[in-house]
Amino acid sequence: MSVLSLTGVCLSFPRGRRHLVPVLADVSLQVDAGEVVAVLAQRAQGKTSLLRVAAGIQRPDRGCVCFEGEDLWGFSDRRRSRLLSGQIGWVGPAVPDLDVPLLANVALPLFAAYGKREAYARATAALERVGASECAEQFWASLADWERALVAIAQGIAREPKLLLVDDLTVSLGLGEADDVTRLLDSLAKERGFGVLMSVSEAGATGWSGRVATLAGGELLETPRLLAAPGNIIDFPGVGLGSRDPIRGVSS
Amino acid sequence: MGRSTAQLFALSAGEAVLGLVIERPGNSYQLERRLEGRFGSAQFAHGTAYQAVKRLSKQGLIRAVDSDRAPLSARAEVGGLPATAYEATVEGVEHFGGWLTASTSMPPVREELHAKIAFCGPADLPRMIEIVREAELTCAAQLEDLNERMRRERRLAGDDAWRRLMGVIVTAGDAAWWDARIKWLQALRQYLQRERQRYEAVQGPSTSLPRA
Repeated sequence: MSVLSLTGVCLSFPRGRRHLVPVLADVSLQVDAGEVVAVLAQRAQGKTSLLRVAAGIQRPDRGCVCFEGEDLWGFSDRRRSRLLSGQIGWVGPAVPDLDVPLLANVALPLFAAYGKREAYARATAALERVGASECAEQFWASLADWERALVAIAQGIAREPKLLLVDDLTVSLGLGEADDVTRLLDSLAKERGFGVLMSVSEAGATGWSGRVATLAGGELLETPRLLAAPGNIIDFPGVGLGSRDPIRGVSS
Repeated sequence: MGRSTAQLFALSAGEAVLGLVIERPGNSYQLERRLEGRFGSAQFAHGTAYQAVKRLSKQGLIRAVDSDRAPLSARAEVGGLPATAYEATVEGVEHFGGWLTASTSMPPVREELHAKIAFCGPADLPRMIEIVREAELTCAAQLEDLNERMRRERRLAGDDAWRRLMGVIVTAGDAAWWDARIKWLQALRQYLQRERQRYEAVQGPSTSLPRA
């Protein structure tokens, strides 16, 4: 069963009294557990809106948004909110800069759901898993873009989501860094079995995604889906990450 | 008759196969597989490596290796018959060195779709939009194919850090090409759709749009 299924989704935003700006036009897309789907689009083409709709943050004008087969908008606000703070993770290029060390920054949003001790344990484990444990005592402002991306992923996976929505995380990263970050997402998706819907602005950032869809003018184009061959799921050795190899999930 | 512009600028299968032989001797079948794995984006025809091996051998740039001297990895049998392994000659290595350090030509930018867009009229807009949409889907499929090959190549590179790094860079070059292509097609599709709406608002349904 698909973790996420969008069917015939339409979304537009009003401009003045008479005009509507179409953002998504009859968009259909599925994301399965353990797979990474990349949506390639230029700026201001509705990438973030698509992810907001998938997360249940933005209600579409028309169409169905299903999480694990259930219509998100058939849920109560409370249940949808709970999903967003648990089973649906959001990863963006920035996490809130709370002027606290990053371990606390990752742990704080987990307090309500897990309590302080468990929240810190989860935050520590997530930072370690993505290879960013050295950043735990640092502050957001002191991090390089690539480290920020890792911390954002750590925050996204700390709740052990079933669906991870990644919003243009690689936009400010260099060639090798973007490759490492997307490869980490692929590795995590396979290891933990969550689906990833990732928006990207550059084709180079789609390297580790199983499928690529393109979005422009509200229209999402996707090549017909092929059955995934079991042999396609391979554990690849890390590239240039030395002893902390978050891609393999073990120290090399 | 001279070669077409596309042929002039295309990656030569000869140089690619010679480079593979220098990197590691192998038989034609293995070279065909390695050519596909490393340079699949160049879309060489099936059997290209076999032809290249014959040509390079005739030119004295590669030669058959005694079966006893061939590396174990190159002694594989193909279809039940022992396959001849090839290694580079001194001339082959020199030729490749010259090719490697020579200036690189620029590929042609314009092709068939550009011409279709240049000649289309308002009545052709619906079909042009379809063609652009098809081209965009094809590019996305090519990108997926490239990604798949890149992952396979990474696996084959194993612990060879240099080869992995060069693989990342070459793949990034391919991806940048597809990226530019997809972005152009996306912008084109939106532009043609706007034009179609504009004409239909003035003229009625697209079937009545005037030809250029």
